Amino acid sequence: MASVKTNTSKKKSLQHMTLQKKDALTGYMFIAPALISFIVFVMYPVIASFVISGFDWGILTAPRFIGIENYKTLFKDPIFIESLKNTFTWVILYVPVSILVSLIVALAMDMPLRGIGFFRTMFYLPVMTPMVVCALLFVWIYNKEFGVLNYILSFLNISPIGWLSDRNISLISIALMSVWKHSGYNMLILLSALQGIPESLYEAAALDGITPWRKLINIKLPLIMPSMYFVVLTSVIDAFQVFTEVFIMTKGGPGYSTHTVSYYLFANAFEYGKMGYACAMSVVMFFIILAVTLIQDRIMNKNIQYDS
Amino acid sequence: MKKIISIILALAITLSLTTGCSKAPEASKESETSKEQETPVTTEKPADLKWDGYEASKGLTGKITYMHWGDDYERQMYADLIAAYEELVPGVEIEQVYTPGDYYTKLQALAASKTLPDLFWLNEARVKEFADAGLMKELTDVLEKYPAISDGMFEGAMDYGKADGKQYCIPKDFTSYVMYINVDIFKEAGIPIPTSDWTMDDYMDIAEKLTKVENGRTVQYGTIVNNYRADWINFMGNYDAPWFKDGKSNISDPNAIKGLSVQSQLIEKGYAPAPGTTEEGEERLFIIGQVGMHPSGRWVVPSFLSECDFEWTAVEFPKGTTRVSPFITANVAINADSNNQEIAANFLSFQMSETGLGYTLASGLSVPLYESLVNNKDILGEPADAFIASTAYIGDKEQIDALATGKWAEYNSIITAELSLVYDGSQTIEEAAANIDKKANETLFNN
Repeated sequence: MASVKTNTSKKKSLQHMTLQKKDALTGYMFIAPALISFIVFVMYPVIASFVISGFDWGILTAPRFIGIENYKTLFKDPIFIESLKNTFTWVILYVPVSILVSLIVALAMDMPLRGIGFFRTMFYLPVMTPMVVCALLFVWIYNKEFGVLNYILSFLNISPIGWLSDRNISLISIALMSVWKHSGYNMLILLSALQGIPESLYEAAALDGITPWRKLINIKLPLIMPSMYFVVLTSVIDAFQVFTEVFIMTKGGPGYSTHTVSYYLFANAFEYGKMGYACAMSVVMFFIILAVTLIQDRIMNKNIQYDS
Repeated sequence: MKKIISIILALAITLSLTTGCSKAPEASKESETSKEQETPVTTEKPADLKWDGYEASKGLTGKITYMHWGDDYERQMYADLIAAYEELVPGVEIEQVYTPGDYYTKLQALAASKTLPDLFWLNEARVKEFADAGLMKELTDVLEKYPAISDGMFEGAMDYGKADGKQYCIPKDFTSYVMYINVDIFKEAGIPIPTSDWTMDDYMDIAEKLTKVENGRTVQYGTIVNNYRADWINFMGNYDAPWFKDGKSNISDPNAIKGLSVQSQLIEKGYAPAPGTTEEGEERLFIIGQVGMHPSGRWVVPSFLSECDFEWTAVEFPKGTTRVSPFITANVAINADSNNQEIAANFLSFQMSETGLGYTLASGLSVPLYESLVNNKDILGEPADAFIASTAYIGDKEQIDALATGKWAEYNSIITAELSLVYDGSQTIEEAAANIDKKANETLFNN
């Protein structure tokens, strides 16, 4: 009897809700799964990292509060400084090349060619292949003694190059692999933006006798800028966190030439047993990425035309 | 215009597919290896399954977990070992937790969440860290109950499972470092196979004779240099170098420099390629017959047996002023918080028995730690002589002292990074040694 009353009162309270509240409730119900996983798998680790960075903790031992000591050590650590430099070099190297390649391929894939679907699939294929597989494949391709790349170059009388064992080019070699691996993803986003441009604009431009170059500069590029903004933003954020390719291909070597912050962070957390120190690094990276993202937003967002 | 673009796109695709699919002859061999490793050998069970701990196993019931790393061969060997034990002790169930990659990340995560397996492997570099955290059972009572575990073991071997003088884990087997020889290359060059008394000078001399250069390209190397802990410990140790002294890094010691210089000179003179950043490439050069001598441990034996299509053997490492061999092992530890420590200890005694070792050494991957078994050809297959000989000088005092600091992993990474800059010609061995000592003593050993 009591339960019947309760159900009735619940129904009544729902009936008395305004339409706006009902909509809000429905909305929250829809976003709940994503929100819960965001809180558990993103927010909680981020907050935990901030807290742990104040401790001397090696996972296996009891944590000891040391205040900002980890941060003081961090900025005196020459390997961290080297890793930071390498990470910035990586972002500067990888992001522009990757986006330029994606854009060129997207423009090519936007052409009305026979069998274009096949080409689009092929260029997207590396994105679907796990990074570990791609990285291992390139370790063999880049091998100085019997890699296929040096084998091809030998026909041009070029001496074997230590693609991964020469400190001056190892980071570039990894970046090239990464461009090959990831450019398909950005290509897809830019391609969808290109295909969203109304045909009427091209027709109008054709009546004015526009050249293909002007069409690209004055119609296509301005209209894909919202997608370009997204691509640049996510590419920069991803680039700051480069890890897997370094871990598989060079383990940070030779010397510290491919040590990135994420790699050094991993080594400290899981190999050297310095979880607190590793978390301090992650906090520093968090603020660096945040600052770079805000600067990008300030520069790019005001120049974007969202309506075609 | 469209046709031209189509052709360009087709070429680009073809190139990318070629990059992905084409194989140098060496790469084909790699895929063959993978196939072979997909179908591991199932070892035959020894006729008599009973062991010293059999009586103590009667009445044991429960379930334990056993965590280990290794390749697919090892996974199968330990599956067979577990099956044999379960057959003998029907009340016990053992769950095999095979973790081929990122082993310590998983092990530490399990430790942090208080869900460590009942038995787990640790390499010699991690013992101190896990002992300090109180994660391993102290094994005095286990060794009293099962004395066969330590009886007859090579002197000093048990030290690698100790921390602060207490026994926390048991080295399950070991490998020393030897020199693998491509006999066909030696025959072709008319050079006799080195004998036990060969020296570093002989090594350098033979490496020079075996190196072949055609049209400016090296088509055959005399030897290989690895940027790996066992290699530098061997080269420094063979010159009696006190490379870790009074709790400090001491690689600038003249004898240590002398030992490491052998490695760097081999590269400088072109008798060995500069080591890559991953170790796999060096091993493969030997497998494809492009290298005369390859320094390595016992772990390469299964792949050499299955892949080398030439005659090969192993000889002792060349002598410097003396001879030592680093001790490379996996220790087995019992979880300090396990509810089934009795079962774990009993299974450990089975694993370390002759019966158990019959399973776990079946692929030739490592060497037994017992003097009575090392000469048993059923236990230690070919090549055996070099490994048997090396048991006379196994272990390195400096290695034990450095391990005892509990900071080996970070020290190891400093040495690897600095030496890699010697191998690529960016700095001299003296500069590298000075950098290693400075970094390590300032950041790790500054107490």
